[in-house]
Amino acid sequence: MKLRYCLLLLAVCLTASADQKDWVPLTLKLPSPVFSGTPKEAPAGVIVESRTAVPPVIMVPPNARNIAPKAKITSSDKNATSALLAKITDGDKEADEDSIVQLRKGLQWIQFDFGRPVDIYAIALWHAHDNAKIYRSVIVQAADDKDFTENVRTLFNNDTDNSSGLGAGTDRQYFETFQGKEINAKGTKARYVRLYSHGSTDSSMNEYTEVEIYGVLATP
Amino acid sequence: MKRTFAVLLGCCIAGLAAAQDPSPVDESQLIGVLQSGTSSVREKAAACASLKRVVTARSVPALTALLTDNDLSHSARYVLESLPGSEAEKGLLNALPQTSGSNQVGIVNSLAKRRDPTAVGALSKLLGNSDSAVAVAAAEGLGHIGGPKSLKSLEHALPSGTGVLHEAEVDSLLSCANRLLANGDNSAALKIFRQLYDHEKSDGIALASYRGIILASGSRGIPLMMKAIASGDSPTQGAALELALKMPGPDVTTQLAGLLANAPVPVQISLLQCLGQRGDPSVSAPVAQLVASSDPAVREAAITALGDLGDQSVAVVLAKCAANSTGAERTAARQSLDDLRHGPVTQALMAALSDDSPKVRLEIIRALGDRGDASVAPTILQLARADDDAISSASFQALGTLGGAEQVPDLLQIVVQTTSDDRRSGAAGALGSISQRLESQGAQWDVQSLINAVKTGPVQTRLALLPICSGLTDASVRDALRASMADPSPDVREAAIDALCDTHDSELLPDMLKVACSDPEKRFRTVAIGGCVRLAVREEAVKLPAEKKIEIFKTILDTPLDTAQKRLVLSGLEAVPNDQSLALVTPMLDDKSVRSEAAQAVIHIAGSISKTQSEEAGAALKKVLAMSLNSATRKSAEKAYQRFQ
Repeated sequence: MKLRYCLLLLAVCLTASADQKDWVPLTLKLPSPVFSGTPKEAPAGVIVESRTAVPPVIMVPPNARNIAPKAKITSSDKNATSALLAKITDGDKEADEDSIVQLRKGLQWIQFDFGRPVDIYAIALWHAHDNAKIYRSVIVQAADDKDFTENVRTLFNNDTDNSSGLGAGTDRQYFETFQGKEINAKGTKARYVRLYSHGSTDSSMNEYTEVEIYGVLATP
Repeated sequence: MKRTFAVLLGCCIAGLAAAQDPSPVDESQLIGVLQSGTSSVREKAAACASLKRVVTARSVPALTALLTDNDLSHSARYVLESLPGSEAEKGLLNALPQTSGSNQVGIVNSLAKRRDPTAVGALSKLLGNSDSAVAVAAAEGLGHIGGPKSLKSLEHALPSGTGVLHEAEVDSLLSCANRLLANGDNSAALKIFRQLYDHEKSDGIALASYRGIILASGSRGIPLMMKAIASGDSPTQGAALELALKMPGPDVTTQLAGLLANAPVPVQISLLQCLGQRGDPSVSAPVAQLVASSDPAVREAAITALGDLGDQSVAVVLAKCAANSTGAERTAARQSLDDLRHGPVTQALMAALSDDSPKVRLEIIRALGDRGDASVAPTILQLARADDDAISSASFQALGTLGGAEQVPDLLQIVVQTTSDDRRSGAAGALGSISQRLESQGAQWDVQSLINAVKTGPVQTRLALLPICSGLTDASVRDALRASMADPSPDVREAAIDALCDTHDSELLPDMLKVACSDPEKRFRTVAIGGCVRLAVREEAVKLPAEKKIEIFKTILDTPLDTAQKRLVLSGLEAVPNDQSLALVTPMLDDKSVRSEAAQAVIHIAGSISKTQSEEAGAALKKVLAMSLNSATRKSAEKAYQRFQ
């Protein structure tokens, strides 16, 4: 029985790795960098990702596309109109004031609804790279229901002290740069994706310049 | 080298010490130190630093005597350099022939800094010095001092100077010429600029001198500038393009625009940026012609410039650009459409709403929404009722930004009457945005008709409108939400609970707590627990006493909870640091599923109450440290415990 189970598992792994042979590195179109000079210090006690370390390459299927513009975007901030939220997926990642969507202060989220479950391989996000700032409680989750109560999977969580109530995260905080933040979603199947943040070292407001979600929309 | 460094360090330390010493300093005593045969170099350097604050002409002999001393020359110059009067100047000049090398360079620099023309003769002689560092310093010094004599010396020396000395002489001549230009002596300045432009080979000097020629030529400079822009000579073209932004006058703008059509691509882009910044709308027509350029960078630059220059006549051009392009060009076109400020742009956009192309119409609607002119809201509302789904959707988006209380009844009617899910959702979205705006402005609007539709409308209408209720604070809204939560339709009930848990209205907290503790459906309980935590500790507008918050969390904790629910409550307790919250959190350390979160909460709470409830805080931290935790949490706990101890 055990042997049969192991063989089955091996077969599944081999099939998966054979499929992944064709996968390609995720390449992002980056905006222009806007700040240089002496790097800022992280606040005391905050462990941040090394700024010189090259992030690991995320491999995605060749047919993975940025499907974020296809999703319906909503937010915990009721003042954010749909026209405003649409700017989060308009392709404009530059650090100009006009490119940045501002949300209320405190813990806020934006949510993407794809209408049906989709395969998600990577998420790239730019909060605001107009300044070297660190966003607090950056959490990215995928779920099967709009309230994020069913089959919730956490793809990234750097809220180490559980201040958001979504569990203590183990990911590191990071300085915002023009390179954004790439998150490996590893083919997670979900209808909903939610991104949380709780202000930054610069301001208690929440900002989003652009979010890209690389996935494959299944045929309806 | 080490010695010089030591002396400099001594000067700095002495300077700092002197700056911090509030006691008065006696000049005679300090002179005595300088002249003493027994004072050390360090003492004399310190005396110079102190002397700087009180120095008069009396100190000059003692100071000038030090100028030839390798160890103290710098300290002496530190005082003499800023001392006004001829005594100091004479002292420096007398020491000049007695020194060499870096000491001599230092004295030349001090004389240059004083900018006294009496030093020109001495510095001029040094232009031929065999030590190139001294000669270069002298050339730079003459440029710094300026004036006809300096100029003459530099001009005389220029043909024979080579290498770095020649470069320093040219730089100084440019400085002199620019100073003449600033003082209004254009003809003298022009002569120097012309001489340098004609004889110097370097591109940098050609650019700087041609810039000077244009500026010194008065009205004749403008044709020179235009000629240079039209030429292919890069230094003069660069100088002319730099000045194109600064040269005033509408004629200049017109002439610059006249160069656009035949200029090569890089020059076209520079000219477009320049014209955009000059901001004269009279040249918008030639700029608009380049929107059709075959080069994408030129198109983008022209589109961007039109945002500053264009009037109503280019509004449709830009809308077409936005509709028929992608990427940076579309972004630029949309931005320029939003920026247009000359002429009746809104009317032009409204008139173009009948354009044949739906893509263009969509861009116009988007622009009208972004431009924020509320007078167009009635027209946009009509478009929202159009057959075309895309036009309707874009119109609802624009109404979300532009709409006011006047549009509420029509939007409500669309929500109630439409059979299309998309339109209902679009209209409800617009209504939600409008209602939020009106509420935040404290404006009067017809909340009641919305509530009536929530209470009596068909299910689909209620589902669309219930989310709007979460943003409203009103007794009738509370009643409507409570009634909907008891609705037989599970969908209506779910929408009502979602709206309830999303509210900012603290009066609905008891209702939310009831769902959190006793609703049979786990997902509703999770959402409600999240809502309770948010209202209790995260909403700025909601002010509850700490006891009340703890009571809410305790009530929730008394019910069976899953891991996600416990985490939510822990985050709430962490935000109310006192002995009661610590007492609720500490036992949760024994629950493996939330140990990490409970440990974080204990660390936070114990750190906050360590001064007032030290015994409880210490015991809780000890308990955390006795547990198996990840290294980061352990480190935080150890740090908190050390601080506490």
